[in-house]
Formats: sequence, structure tokens, C-alpha cells
Amino acid sequence: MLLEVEDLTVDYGGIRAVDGVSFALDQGAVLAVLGANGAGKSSLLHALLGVSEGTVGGRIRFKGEDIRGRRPDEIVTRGIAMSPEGRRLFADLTVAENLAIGGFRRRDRAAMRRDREEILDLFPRLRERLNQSAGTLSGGEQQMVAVGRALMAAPDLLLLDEPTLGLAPLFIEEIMALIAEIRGRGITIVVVEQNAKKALARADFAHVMERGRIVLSGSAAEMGAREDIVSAYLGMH
Amino acid sequence: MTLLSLVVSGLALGSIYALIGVSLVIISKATDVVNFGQGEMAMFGAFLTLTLLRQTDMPLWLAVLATLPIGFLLGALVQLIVVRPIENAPALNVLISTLGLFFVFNSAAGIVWGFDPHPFPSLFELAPITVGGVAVTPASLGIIAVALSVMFALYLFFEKTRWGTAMRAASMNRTAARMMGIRVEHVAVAAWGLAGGLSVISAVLIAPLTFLDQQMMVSIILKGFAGAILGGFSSLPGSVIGCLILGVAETLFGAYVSTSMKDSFAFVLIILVLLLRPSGVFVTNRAKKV
Repeated sequence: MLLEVEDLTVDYGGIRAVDGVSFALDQGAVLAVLGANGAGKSSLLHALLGVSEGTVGGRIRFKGEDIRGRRPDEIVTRGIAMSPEGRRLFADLTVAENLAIGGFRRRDRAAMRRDREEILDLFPRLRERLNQSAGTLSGGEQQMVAVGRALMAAPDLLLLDEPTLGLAPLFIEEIMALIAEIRGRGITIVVVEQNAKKALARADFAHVMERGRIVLSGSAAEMGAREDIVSAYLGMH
Repeated sequence: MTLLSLVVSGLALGSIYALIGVSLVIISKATDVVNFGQGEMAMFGAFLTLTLLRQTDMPLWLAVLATLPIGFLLGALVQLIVVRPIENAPALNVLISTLGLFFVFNSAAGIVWGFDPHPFPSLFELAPITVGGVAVTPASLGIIAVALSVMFALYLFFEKTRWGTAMRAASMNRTAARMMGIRVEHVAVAAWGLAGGLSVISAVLIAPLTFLDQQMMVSIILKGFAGAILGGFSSLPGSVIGCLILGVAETLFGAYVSTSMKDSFAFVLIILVLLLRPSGVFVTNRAKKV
């Protein structure tokens, strides 16, 4: 197992955002985490990366090592990277600099150059915009930079937090298609999405979260096929 | 004095302001703190340099180079000991603490080195020479040259190095920087250290002209602050240009209008800028794309 999460809790003051979540994830799998706003999805991802603002309890084992309580730089070095919700690009830095910062913890320069080329092949639009400030790009292009920046860390586990939020339909398709492309490189993915149907179409497994708990788990194909589940837990998407 | 020689000495003065102004901007961008103690830390660092000169037979140029690590250490220690423990406190508390730094360093320098002015050796000749019919002091030219070289090195650091880029990234978005594995607490120490180094350089550059005493930097930090505001306070090049303009304007005002009012002139200028162009003279209104 690449990732094993056991009885994970995240508390913000008196408020429990993640309430005893357990799951495991094999290498190369794509897991969709679905649920309404405030269900604890982002809190879960932040805990995995070690950037949680709250108190994290339970166990997070990554490649067999307990990483709960480790600093984010240690976790990034161990192979987890995130494309955060709202993209959080370095707006005044160029696209090239944003990508470089994604690989900040790496020292293998030659491999970084290769990875950068691969990422630019994946997002040809970015190649034309390398020296442009990231803040001047369109929303879809910014999302590509955010994903590319995370990939520059050469992660084994990629966390995608709401990658299609606020994007035009064309870009949503493009970003979603990318998930298949990335997993094809052997990278394990956890994707948090509001757009349940689209996420289920690309994932192997799905967890539905409600008030900090996983209330439903299963294969993405089964879950996507059941209209009742989709509408009951995931609203109109 | 001719206009040109006034401009040169104004630029030298502006260079001193710029080193301090840039220090303030670096600290503010990286840690959201305006450090009112920065000038006093610079003065304290200059006294440390003077002690180093007196206690050892180190050549002057080496002692001036040594200001960089001295200033860095001073800034880094202040960040770790004073600022780090209160980084999550309300902004006003932090502000009061940096005012506290002002008084601590000011008094400490007085207690250790006394309250009388000390002569400080100059790397450059203080007597004017004539270059192309313009009377200038080598000291002015030297100050401008040192400040410009330091600024150029700073530019290379921020634009071309991995650490410089990481510091800019962390200043823009601390949360995202953490997510990329940048240790933002190290960025904070580095920013305070870097600012410390720049400020102590400015103090040892001005000390030969004004003598070194514990009040030396009081007006200079205010001018550096003012010049940085003139430049928008968020852009390093803008702050440098703002400080240079302030130095020249103040010198010309002092020569042609009134010497006694030249300090107030600087502040009238700042109040006007804050009233008319609060984001600085050089910042064009950027439309933000969502």
C-alpha cells in the first residue's frame, strides 16, 4: 500500500473537520473524494501534506512510514505534492519560475529539466507562456500551471484539490483528461471534486464525505452508475 | 556648488536611504512587519564594526565587507529571538515590539559605546575633486558605487537563484510556498538577515560623513521609509528609485530653499504621495485577472 490512513482526525479549535477517516490506497490508483462544501475534503488533503492549520490525529502511513506530524517540506521530499484549491499560484512569478518552485526540494537538476520538458509537452500552451507572469494567465491555464508545478516535485502521490473549480467546460474536460495521462505515468492520485460525475468517470475508487466522515465508499464505476447515490449525496452534479 | 555636484551628493544620500528602504521592504514583504528598529540595528552593527576595527588590525575594506555577516547575524537573531515568538500576535503588538527594538538598540549602543560621536574611517576620500568641471567628493561616488553594486547583487540573488526565487514566492503566498516544501520560517530569518546586512552597510557608508553616534540613523530610517513609500513600498526597484529621488530632492531643496526645512520637506513629500498616489509613484494600477 502506498498510502494508509487510519482514524484520521482534524480539529480546528473545538470543531472537528475530519472525524475518524480510514482508507488505503494502492500505487497507481486514482481515488476521488466527493462531498458537499465543508465535508472535510480539503482538510483531509491538507493533513496528508502536513500543512493543516488544525490539530491532526490518527495515523498517516506513506510508503510504510508514519508521516503524521512531519513538516510539509519533509513530506514533499518523500513524494507527496498538491495542486491546491484556488490554484494559489505565485502570481507575480513567471510560469517558468512557478514550475521551478514546484521542484524546490529536488536537487537532481538533469532529471528536473527532463520533467519540465515532459510537463510542457503535457501542457503545450504553457510553453508559449513560460516568461509570462502566472497571474496574467486565464483560469484554465493557471490550473495547468498549478498541476504542472505539483508534478515538478516528481511526486508518487498527487493531491488535486478542486482542479476544475471555476473553469470553462472546455478546460474541465482537458484537466480531467489529464488525470488519465498522469496516472499513466504511475502516479497515484487523490482528487477532490465537486463535479462528481466527471470525477467518477476518471477514478477507480470514490469516497463520499459528509461532516468529516466517509459515509460511502466503493468503486467509482458502481457509484457513478447509481443515479440515486449521485443525487442523494452529491446534489445535482 | 553647481547643480550637478548637488545631484551627485543627493544621489549618494539617496543610496544610503535606499539600502535602508530596501531592507524595510524585504522584511515587510517576507514577514508583514515594518521594523522601526532597523535603523538602530544598523547603527549597532556599525558600532560592532568599529569595535572590530579598533580591536584587530583588520584593514578597513575587510571590516566593511564584514558588515554583511555582522548585519546578517544581527537581523537573523532579532527575528529568531524577538519577532518569531510574536509572529501570530496582532499587528499592533508586533509594531510596538519593533518600536521596542528601536529603544533597546538605541540605549544599548549608548551604554556600551557612550553617547558621544565617534569618528569612523572612510573608505573614500572626503575632500572634493573635480571631474569634468564638476566638484564631487570621492566619498559620494564611492557610496553610490557600493550601493549600486549591492543592489545589483541583490537583483541577481532574487531573480537568478533558487533561494531568491523561493523568497519571492514565499512573500507572495506563504501558504502555497509551504505546500511546495519551502520552509517559510527559514525565509523569515533569511529576510531579516539580508535586511540586517544591507542596513549595516548603509550605516558604515554614512558614518564617516556624520560621525557614528547612537542617534545617527534616526532620521535616516525615516527617510528610507519615506523613499520606499514614494516607490510604492512593495517593489524593490521602485523603493530604490523612490529613495534616490528623495535624496536628490532633499539636497536640492536644502541648497536652494532652506537647509533647516529640508527634513520637513521629505515628509511633506511623503504626505503628498500618500494623499495623491497611495500605491506609490511608479505603480500603475494593474487590473487583476480572476
